Amino acid sequence: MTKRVSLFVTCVVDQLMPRAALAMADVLTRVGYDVEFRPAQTCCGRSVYEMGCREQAQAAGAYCVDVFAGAGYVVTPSTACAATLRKRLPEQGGPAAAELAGRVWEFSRFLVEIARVEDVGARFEHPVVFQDAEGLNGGRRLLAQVKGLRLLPLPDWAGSGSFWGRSEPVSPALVDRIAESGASHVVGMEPERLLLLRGAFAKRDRGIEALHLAEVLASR
Amino acid sequence: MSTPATVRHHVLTNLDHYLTELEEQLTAKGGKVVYLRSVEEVADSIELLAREKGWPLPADLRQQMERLEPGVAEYLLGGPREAGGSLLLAAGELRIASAAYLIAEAGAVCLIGPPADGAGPRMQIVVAGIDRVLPRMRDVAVFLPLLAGEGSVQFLTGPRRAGEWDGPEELYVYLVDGGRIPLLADPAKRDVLRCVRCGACLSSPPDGSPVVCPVGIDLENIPGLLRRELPPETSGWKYRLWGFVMRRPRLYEFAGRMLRSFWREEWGVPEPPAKSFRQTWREEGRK
Repeated sequence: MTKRVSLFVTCVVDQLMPRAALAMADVLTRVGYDVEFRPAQTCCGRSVYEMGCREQAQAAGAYCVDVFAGAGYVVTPSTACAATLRKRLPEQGGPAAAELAGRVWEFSRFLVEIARVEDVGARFEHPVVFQDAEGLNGGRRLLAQVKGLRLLPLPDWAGSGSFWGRSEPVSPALVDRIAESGASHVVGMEPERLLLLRGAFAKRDRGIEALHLAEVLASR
Repeated sequence: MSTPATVRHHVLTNLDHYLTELEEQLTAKGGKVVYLRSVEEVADSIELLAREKGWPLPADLRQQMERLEPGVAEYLLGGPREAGGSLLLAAGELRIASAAYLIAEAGAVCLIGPPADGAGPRMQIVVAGIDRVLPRMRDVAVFLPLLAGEGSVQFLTGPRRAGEWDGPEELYVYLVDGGRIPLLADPAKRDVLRCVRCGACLSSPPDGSPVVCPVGIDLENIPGLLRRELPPETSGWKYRLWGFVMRRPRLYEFAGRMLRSFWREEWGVPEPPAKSFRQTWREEGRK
């Protein structure tokens, strides 16, 4: 039996970070999965949910249930969108929504917990800092197996901003801390945070790149 | 059992009692307690004291005071408590420090940061929000781990007494409202005053997974609380349009193409990709 996964790319990655999803597809293929992309997909509804509009968020959630019917595992490069589908879909009621919620996986968790791989055969010869996601340790375990990668410590992510809430942009102090760490790349698992960091690095003319974990794992 | 959450809750519901006790204890030992409304009053008061002594003050005293006691709104927005929130002025004669905690029963001030050299300054001013008080000395043990690793811990129990080796000749404790009283008066929001800025919540991702707040603030409830106060207009055409578009993938793709550069500006992302993921996927003939 072939192992199948369906990509949930998310609207933000689709439009602004396509390379992260392409890299994710490459890595999943490399570890032995048949990867499909269902082009009917759009958005999980998180943006409007966070703005307080439950009604449209649930409409988007119900649409996702239709799109991913019968798709098997649904894997996404966004920790936040994975959490939205996993937590908010069951609130909609109905077996189909709950069933989809149970098979949505954030990329790093999928690799570690379902595919059960940590070494995906990646090589990335750069010093990096990693932006952890709360409660997910798969990212670090996967990075630890990347050849040539030097993981530098950077404990304090205070001031990394938020996206839809736009409460504050990335703090200049955080950009300085990253620059002083000696890293050439920031690696993360949340596309929106990475986009904010990209913006902040560009604005302050720092030669640092923000990459999704999948982009690092895809390189060899 | 005393936990950070139960202690903070108890203090905030009995704040009048503990502030009175703190004032009595500190005053009995020769300290001076001053209640002030805002950081402006803090700076005014320091200027008066320094003028009496003939001590010069830096021109940016007000900005420096705002760093020590920014008021509760800025305080809650800030990062984890900065170590060594203190400054030394007038050639070491005057030290101004923000208190980590105040201990009511002992009439003591707990400072965290680099210790003062030698016998310390002649005049010590301690600035603290009125919520910083803890009932007893043993409560400090519950709270120090939250701010651990930030510097040495120092206790002041009044000015230097006859026969003592070190300590300031004069000790002022400035208790600042800074917007705390209105929060305290609001039962729904009072709990945010429990915050000691330990920084545990700052590691939370934007996906709303629960972070356990050490002082028991219901973090996930705060956005909802604020929304009830100022309900967002979510029935408007923009939301309906969004929902309409997001259920029509072709329309979504067209809108995405139109909006990508706008998104880029909004978030300051340098270069939008020439093609979306779906476009690339399609053109590469993948399934």
